[in-house]
Amino acid sequence: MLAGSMFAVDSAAEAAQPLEGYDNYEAFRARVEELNQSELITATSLAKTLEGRDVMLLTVGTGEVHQKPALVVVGNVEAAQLFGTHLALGIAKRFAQQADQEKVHDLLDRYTIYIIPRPSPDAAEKCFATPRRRPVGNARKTDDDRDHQFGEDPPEDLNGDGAITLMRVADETGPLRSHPDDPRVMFAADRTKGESGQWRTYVEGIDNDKDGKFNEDAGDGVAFNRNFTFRYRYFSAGAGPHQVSEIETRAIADFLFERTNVAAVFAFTPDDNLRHTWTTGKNPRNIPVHIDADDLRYVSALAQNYRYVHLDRNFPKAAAGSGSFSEWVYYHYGRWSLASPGWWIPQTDAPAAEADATADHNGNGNEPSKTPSYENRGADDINALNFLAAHDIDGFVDWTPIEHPDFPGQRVEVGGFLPLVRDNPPAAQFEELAEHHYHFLVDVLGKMPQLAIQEAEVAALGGGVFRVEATAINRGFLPTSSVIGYRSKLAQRVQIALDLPDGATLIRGPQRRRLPRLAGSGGTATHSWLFRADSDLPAGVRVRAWTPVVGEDEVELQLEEAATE
Amino acid sequence: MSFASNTYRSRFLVGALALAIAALVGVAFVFIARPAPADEPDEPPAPTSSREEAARRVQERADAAATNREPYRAVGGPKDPKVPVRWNRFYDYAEMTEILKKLAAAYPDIVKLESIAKTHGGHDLWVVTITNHQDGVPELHKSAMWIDGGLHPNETQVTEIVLYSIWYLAEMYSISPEIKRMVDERVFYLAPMMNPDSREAHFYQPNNRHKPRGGMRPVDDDGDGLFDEDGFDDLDGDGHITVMRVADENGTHLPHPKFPRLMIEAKPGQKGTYRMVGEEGIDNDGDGEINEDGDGYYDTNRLWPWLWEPEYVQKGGYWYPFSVHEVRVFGDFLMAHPNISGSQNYHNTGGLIVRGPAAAIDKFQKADIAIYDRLAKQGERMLPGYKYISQSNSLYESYGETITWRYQMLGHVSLLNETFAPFNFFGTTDAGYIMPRPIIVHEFDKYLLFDDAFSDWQEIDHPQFGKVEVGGLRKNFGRQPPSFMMEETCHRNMAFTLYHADQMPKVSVQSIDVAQVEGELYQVTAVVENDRIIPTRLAVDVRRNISPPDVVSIERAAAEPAAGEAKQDGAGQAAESGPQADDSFRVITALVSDSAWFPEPRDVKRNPQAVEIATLGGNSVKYVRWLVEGAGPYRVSIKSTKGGRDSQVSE
Repeated sequence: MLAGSMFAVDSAAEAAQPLEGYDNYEAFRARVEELNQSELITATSLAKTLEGRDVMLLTVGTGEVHQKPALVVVGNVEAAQLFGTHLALGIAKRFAQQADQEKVHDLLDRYTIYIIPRPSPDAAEKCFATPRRRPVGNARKTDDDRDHQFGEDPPEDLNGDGAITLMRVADETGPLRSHPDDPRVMFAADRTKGESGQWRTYVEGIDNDKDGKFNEDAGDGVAFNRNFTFRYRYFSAGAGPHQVSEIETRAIADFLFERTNVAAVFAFTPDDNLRHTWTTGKNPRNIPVHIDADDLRYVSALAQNYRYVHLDRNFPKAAAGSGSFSEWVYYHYGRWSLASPGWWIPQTDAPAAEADATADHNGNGNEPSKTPSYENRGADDINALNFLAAHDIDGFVDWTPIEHPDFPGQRVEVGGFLPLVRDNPPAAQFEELAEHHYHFLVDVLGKMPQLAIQEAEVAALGGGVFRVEATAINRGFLPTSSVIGYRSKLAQRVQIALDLPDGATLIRGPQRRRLPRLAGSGGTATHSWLFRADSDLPAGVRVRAWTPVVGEDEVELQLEEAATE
Repeated sequence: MSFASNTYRSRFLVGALALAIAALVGVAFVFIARPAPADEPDEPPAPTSSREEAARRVQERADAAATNREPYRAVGGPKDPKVPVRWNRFYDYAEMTEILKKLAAAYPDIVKLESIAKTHGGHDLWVVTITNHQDGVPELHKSAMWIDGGLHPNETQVTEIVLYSIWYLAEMYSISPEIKRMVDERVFYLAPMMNPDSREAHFYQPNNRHKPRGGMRPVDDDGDGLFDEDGFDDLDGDGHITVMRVADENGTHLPHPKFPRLMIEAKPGQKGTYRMVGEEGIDNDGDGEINEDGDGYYDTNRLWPWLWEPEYVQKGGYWYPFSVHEVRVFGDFLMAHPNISGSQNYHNTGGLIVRGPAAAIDKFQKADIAIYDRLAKQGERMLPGYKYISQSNSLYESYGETITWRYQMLGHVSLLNETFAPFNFFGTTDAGYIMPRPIIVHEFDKYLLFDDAFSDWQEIDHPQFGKVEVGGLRKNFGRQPPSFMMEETCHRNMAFTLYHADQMPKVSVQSIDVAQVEGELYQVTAVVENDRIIPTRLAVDVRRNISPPDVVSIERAAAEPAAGEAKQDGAGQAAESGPQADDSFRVITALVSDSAWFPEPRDVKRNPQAVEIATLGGNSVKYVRWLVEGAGPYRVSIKSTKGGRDSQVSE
């Protein structure tokens, strides 16, 4: 084993290392600082984590950034999907670089973009720990198996390859069997078809606390994406002692609640709703747990555009989250929530069929079967292996027997996919992925609601009494807020107001009114006022319509003209 | 001389002799019976008659009383407390703080005062810890009761109830052996004023009896981008937010014939003389609504983690659990003290003893409900007119409230008292359910309060409605007891909470039996007991593994117990110091059973030296039997997070 190399390199060709080209915290901060040099980008810290790292925020925009409707982009919501940080940074870079282009310039005039590339930096940093493991959560010391001891049974790197993979124990009562085409892969045995088992698996390690369970408590910390309030799972590993218990969660939640100008949030997260949109359904107890049907129509339209950008279809439907960020955005933060992992392993064919004499995948001298079995099970793993091979990534540790102290006399092998290789693309793909997502978000900004005062009229009724009637219209694609955003008032409602001049008395108002939600592409609402002006006729009155999540408009109406009609 | 010579002369002589003897005896008698002179006190003279005897005894007792004067106390309270406090009034933050400081200074051995945080408005959040601080037992080794008041700051009397509890425990500690026992056995954490900013606002700013119900941080309640821009307006300047009425010959309401300040609805076909306009206030921000965005609003009893829901589902839920600092610090305190095995949350009003669950979809474990039932039944007796209910069944649903969180996530019996019942007005059951019927309130005010509770109708100029009359129930009544009923409210509620505290689990090693099996092999059988109603771990605790299991451990005792080591109550000292490194002592195996005959015992495979027990039920015992190598004496210890500790040495 080479001293500096993390992974055993078998083949003669130089294999790409997983996580090569990925930023640890220092490199990430350097990149953030680079972006901070742009006039259009300001980097600030939202909080300091337990290990003293900053939760960084990049504000992209011009002028009064907090007074403009805003889009939020969050990367790396799931700690293991580290590439999200790079895509988020890439998006920030593109906005800054293309700010001179007319279209982008116009967007930055009207909108602000808040980017949080790495919401839980302590958790992300665990991607670079040794031995390498798939991280779960932040630096809090947790009791993951609820036995009142903290981290008493972490995994161990038994084969000394610098990574935590799996170990499997030969066992005919076990649930898994080897794939006939590729002995690296296992799948669940179907006993109704007379298949017996061959293996049972554990995470690589020994039973430190001799309780019969293996590596059940590494004290893995609290996962950002399980710590929010929507569908929070109490007493479960990685969820924290209660909702929003963590410094990182609280900092980001507080920031978002305080920024009443946020209109939509896009996140790089496994809780996809763009490849497969959320479904409508009945809400028991009148508490929304399904996306509203009207909101779904709009999100589907945006999703269609997203799917157009990413043509590949090989993405499984995401499981429902628990305490997840993106669902929280829609249900408990009342804003448009767009979510996608951003990348997944595409459908990849097997490498050119060559009997590879040096490959001895299962370590016991048997040659792999040459006739394909058309076995469907384990297809995901097979596909992943194809992908790794195609990109020359050494991402799989071949099953190798070891002596295991907890299984004396039994056959135990260590092997499996290296951590993070299935969660993260090769760094070479960053630019392309960032470009795609940048264009998608530019398009989303182009589809935001547009508030205007469509019509405003003043009529003199005589006796110094005037009637003003004004109609607010939404000419943008999206409605002025989601249904939940409106109902919860979390997305501030559109208001319309008449600025009465001095000496005028309101007869019928109210002077300021909150309007209903305005549908996209032409939704309107009208309000009227009656007021009386004293003998000194004011020159004009002003009608304003506004909400921080959409924008504002105002119209000056001349009274003199009206009076002389 | 012979007696026979002259009969008459001899008889005369005998008679004279007899007389002389009698006279001598009589004289002697008189001498003996004479009362002792004053300068001879050590010779109490024999009583000559019963009246004199009685007078003598009276004098004795009066002399004794003059030198040895026991105070003549009204029972159940101190006569001359070190910190005199009047209990027929309310106390504001500064006044309460002064009382707390005086009590901590007067009773430093049992009362400790701590500020756990400063509020948004700069006040201290006081927590008082009452226990015997001098007995050398660490606080966390004793079972604790948490008592709080003022979670809803407008619910005034709850501060006095908790303050009274602090005062009573301190002042009666040296007078009542029962109170002393309770304070010695347990720890009491008491937080009398959870929302001092809002209490100040309720007292000194115009408010009604329902507000402020939460905190004072500005919140945009109506979602218009402005914060607290349209709160109450005290149009008649009397410091109370009441209601407005307008004289109207086509009105819907009229004054009650017997109690003219009470407005009642006109019956169908009857013409009213007034129209009710609404709550005292104006539309400050021109949006067409009155008083829609005042202080806060977030409900400090909707910000706890269990089944929390956001504002649009559960009014007052604000952003997320503990999103308000003042709630968070209390949550942190409760979570940081796992020895808390019971809690009491005080509110007004209604006369209720409430348990969770608070949401209809939620449920409690059956076995635990049985415990609540037993405690609350006694509470109904001690608090006449109060009813025991489960919130989701009999009251409105709520999400994210505290007593359900404490049960479901901290695993202890947590009760809420809605203090002051409609029953309390006239001792009748027809006075209303939770809220007293308005006519009862008016009758009470007239005959018992002499019109002290209502602001008379007063005409003012309303910018929007013109001439209106303002009047109604003042903010310091309707939910709160009147002055003369305050102390009883405090005492009865405190007494129920102390009863609950007394029934929190308390573990002990009841006995240790040693039998030699053969040679160096011994069988040691210990009986451990919980002699209170509440189990060491409730069913919900066992199910969710909230606190660690109880541990019963054995080690070889030191040859000569150190001075004070023989102390039996709560001293887990030996267990902490760990067994001596002793090669000649080895625990081979252990068995656990509910029965002394070990019919189907549990065989402890892992770590038999420290046997884990899931729970010690209420009023129950468990038997633990070890097989050990090495002679005794042995020390058996039991360690329970919620049930305390005990340790005994075998003979």
